[in-house]
Amino acid sequence: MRKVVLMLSFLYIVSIDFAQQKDSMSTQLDLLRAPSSPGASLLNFAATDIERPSEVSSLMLSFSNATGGFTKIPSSYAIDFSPFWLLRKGSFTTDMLNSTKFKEVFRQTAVISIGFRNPDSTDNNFKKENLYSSFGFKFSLARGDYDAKTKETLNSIGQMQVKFLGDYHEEMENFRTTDTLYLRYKEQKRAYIKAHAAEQGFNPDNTPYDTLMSKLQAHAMDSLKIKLGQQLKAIQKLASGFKINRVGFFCDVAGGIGLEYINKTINSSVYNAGIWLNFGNNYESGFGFYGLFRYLYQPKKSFTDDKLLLQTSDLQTFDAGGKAAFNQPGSDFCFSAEAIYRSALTSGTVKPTYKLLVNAEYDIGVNKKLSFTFGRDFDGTITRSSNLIAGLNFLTGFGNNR
Amino acid sequence: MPDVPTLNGTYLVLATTVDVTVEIKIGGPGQTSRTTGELSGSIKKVIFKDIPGSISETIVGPNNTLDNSTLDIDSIVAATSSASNYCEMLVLLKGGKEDKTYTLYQTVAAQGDNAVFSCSIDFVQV
Repeated sequence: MRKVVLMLSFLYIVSIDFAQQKDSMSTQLDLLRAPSSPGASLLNFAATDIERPSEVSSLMLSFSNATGGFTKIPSSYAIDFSPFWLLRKGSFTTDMLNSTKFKEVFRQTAVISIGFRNPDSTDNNFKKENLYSSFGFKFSLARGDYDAKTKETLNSIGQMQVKFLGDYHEEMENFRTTDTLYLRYKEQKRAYIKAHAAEQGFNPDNTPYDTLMSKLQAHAMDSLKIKLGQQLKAIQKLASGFKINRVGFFCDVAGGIGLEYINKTINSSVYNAGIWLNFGNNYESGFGFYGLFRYLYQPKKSFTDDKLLLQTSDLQTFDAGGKAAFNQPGSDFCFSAEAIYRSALTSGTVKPTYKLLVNAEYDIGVNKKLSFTFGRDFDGTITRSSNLIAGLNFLTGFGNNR
Repeated sequence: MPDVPTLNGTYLVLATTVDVTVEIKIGGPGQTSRTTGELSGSIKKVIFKDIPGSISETIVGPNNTLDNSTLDIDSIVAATSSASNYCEMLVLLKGGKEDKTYTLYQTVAAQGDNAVFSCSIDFVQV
């Protein structure tokens, strides 16, 4: 593997000029993946600018903050949320994330993505006199099963959790049924509730004893976590490096539409729209074969025609592509080759074209990748780039290894 | 928001034979858990033991048998998700005087860390 690192390092040095000339290549590498935030992507939001609330209260707080307490249109706001997780409908733990039933797969993978842009004079990509909004969705129709290593790790974590829970619950039950002070508070609480239960608006969870009992229970918990610390450490060791890898067939669907509100009025027109269908199969050996269908609609798009004249027209493109990749399980090295054919559905606009790309990547640590790319881009130019993709992920992971 | 890993609650039951049920929901997405629930006090009974993930609605017992009993629920949630360190346990009780939901939660420091939850629900007949 050291040879691979050296080879990629050399390629990085000799190609650094190309990386500087064409730094957008890193985003094009993900062309065969549906966008994780389809709505936000249509309005060019960076991943770090997208809020992802995990509770209904957080969602409402996010809306409220963005709109100044629901009094104004947000200036720049993007949000992704899983509707079923927000409503706590369905199971989301690893024991159920392996389900291949469509109902579960859909609930666990459905994401709603919304964006708003109220551009000011500093925003060059949008007209400052207009307002923009977008709505997107993403879900999986099918996904693969856990691979053997994922199953093995989860099984080991489960066995250790059962051992810990057996010991912890036994000791905790002993505390809850024998601790003199805890039992005294419990009796006093019962008497208090019986005496006040008939009162209007009485809340049985707001007695003077609840906090006292919770504190005693928390103290007992802390002592037990120290006593059983070795077991917790063993679980932590396995769980810290855990990552879900799947094998088998998957199929993801994503789509979105962006609207442009002329002069910030209710009169709106489509700004852009797209729909993605990504599918493929991963194998235990590390091989993967993937396919893509993508439709993009861009009204009033400027482009160069056959006579090299700048034209403006509604542009509709349809992409179809395939990719083969190899990433040996447990290895940080990944190699892939992909081809995408693009056809224009609107006659008299752009000519059909294609893209070919070969890519090699080496994961050199948390959020850092050394990569080399070679191929032909849609515009016919031969591209070659290599770079250390670190900046963006350092931002997202700053202070935390995620 | 400060973490809530322990909780002592009270669930009011009535003098009826209607079953009281408990449902457990574990999160967040991608975490790995085991949960045990046991009735102590006037009735001693294991309601569920070492169950992975969320637990569907399970009968605890008829209203009129639960006075002076306590449902003790312990859970360990390992943060196996690579996206979030948030762990939670929701306890949903139905069939008594009114439906009730208790929420315990903890955001652990790093992936792999464990959240341990302990929840005791006293049943009091009114």
